[in-house]
Amino acid sequence: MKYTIIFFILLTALGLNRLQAQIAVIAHQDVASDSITSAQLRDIYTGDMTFWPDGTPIIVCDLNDEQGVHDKFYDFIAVNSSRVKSVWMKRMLSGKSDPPLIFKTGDDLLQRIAELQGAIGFVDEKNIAGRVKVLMIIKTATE
Amino acid sequence: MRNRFHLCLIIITVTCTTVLGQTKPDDLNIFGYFQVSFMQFSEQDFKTNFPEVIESEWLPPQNTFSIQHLNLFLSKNISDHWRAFINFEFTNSFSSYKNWGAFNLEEVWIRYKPSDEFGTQAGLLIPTFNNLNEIKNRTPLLPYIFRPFVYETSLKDFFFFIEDFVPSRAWLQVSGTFKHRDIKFDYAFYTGNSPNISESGVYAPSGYDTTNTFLFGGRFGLRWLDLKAGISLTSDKKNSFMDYNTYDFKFNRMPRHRLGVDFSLQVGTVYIESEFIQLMQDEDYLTVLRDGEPVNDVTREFSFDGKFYYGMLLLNATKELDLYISYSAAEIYFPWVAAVNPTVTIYDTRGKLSIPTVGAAWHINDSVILKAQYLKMDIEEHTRLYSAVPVEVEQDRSILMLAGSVFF
Repeated sequence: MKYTIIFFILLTALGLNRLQAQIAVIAHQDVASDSITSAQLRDIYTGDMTFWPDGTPIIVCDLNDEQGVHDKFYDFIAVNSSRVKSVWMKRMLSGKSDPPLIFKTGDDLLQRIAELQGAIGFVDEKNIAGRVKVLMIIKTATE
Repeated sequence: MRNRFHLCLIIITVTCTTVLGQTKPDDLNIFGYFQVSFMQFSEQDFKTNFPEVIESEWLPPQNTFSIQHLNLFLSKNISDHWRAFINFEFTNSFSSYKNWGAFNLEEVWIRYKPSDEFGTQAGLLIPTFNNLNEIKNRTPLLPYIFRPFVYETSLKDFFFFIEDFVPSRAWLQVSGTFKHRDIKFDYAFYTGNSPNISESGVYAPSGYDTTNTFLFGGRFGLRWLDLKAGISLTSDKKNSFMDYNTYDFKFNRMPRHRLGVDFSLQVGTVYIESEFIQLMQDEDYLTVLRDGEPVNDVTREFSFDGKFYYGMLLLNATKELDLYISYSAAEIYFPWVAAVNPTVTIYDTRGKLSIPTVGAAWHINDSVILKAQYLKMDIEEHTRLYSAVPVEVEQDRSILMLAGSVFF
């Protein structure tokens, strides 16, 4: 009986874990913010916020992965990712700013953010190592 | 031996590892785009109520391929707050050998921007005016092949007044955005040369302003979620000379003002965009010349104003396909010698151009867009001869266009 209960608890925990994935919004260790709001994230990823509070330029990093983290992130900030591409192309072609740095894997994005002052990005929370600052954890439901 | 091999492997890997799709922030970036197009023109119909006086301007059908635009950009972040930007533009299959098209130095500026609220640009730049002015030549951003009339720079050889409606260049601009909760307030102020630029190099080096007047202008805008609206103003003084054989019209430092209003809104998969521009030119600054000498006895009953408006409704039919309908129209008044006895009487000629259009843009991938567009161009002119006789001219022509826009 005891083992049956343990078995069902483990099964439930596994199921709950599958129901909730977490995306970590991360930044370079020296970034002058310890947290961020969804509105600020939206502004950063649409080019409307380009400096941290201390005047350091924000370097935007985007994850174009196949695990769905990209889509979940843009759902969270309520911005259509096609529209975001158009916004950044307009900024680039009018000289206002460079487009986001794009990475195929969370490990590559993580490594770059650890190196680049002012960089911000997002990864699956499971990928985080201690070299970056976590500004927000986004809980998303998996399908 | 094995450890040394592993160490070499690590060193080589670390040295050579690059991450996909990125450059270092302070690299020189070179990028650009081009748009290649095919246009099929119908015959141009021509009608007038005075065929014995007004010569027919009927034109046969024609078609052409062309490189409508090729733009090359250089950009570099000099430091955290300084950025340099250069834009070269080639239009209409440019060839210096065959005298086709044009090559322009479109933008060359340096920007200092310490915050989102304030930035300043100095150099040759495209000023902020309404919604489309800054991006009118950015073909990857527009579903159009043929742009709303006053932004269609290829027409300025045929319609001299196109450049009166929008400012094409400025030299110093300050701009920024203030935020209050979800609302963003955009501002831009700029100054630059007057429109009186030496072309011949006779009285001043070519490219120099021949007056000591300036262009001043600006835009205030508001953005809230997917809504964007703004109001734009410019002011400058224009010298103009119109040759009407016996009589010439000279405008000396005529005040010219533009008022622009823009609006755009995205609702789900539907995008709406519209603009209005009122052009105001002070006709009191006209001097009528006969054989080079001023004429004193002149009756003036004309306006030298104009207006432009356009609207577009676009549907994001799928993630890759956009469909749109659009209408743009312009009205311009310019002086015309209607009679010479007993006094020189100046009346309006009123010109109206209207262009309804439908089109589609298919985004094959992030870099390539295929476009199709059909438009009908209607031109009407109304004037008077001998003070009383109305003269009307109508011309219309339709154009079917296909184009590919490539960003690299």
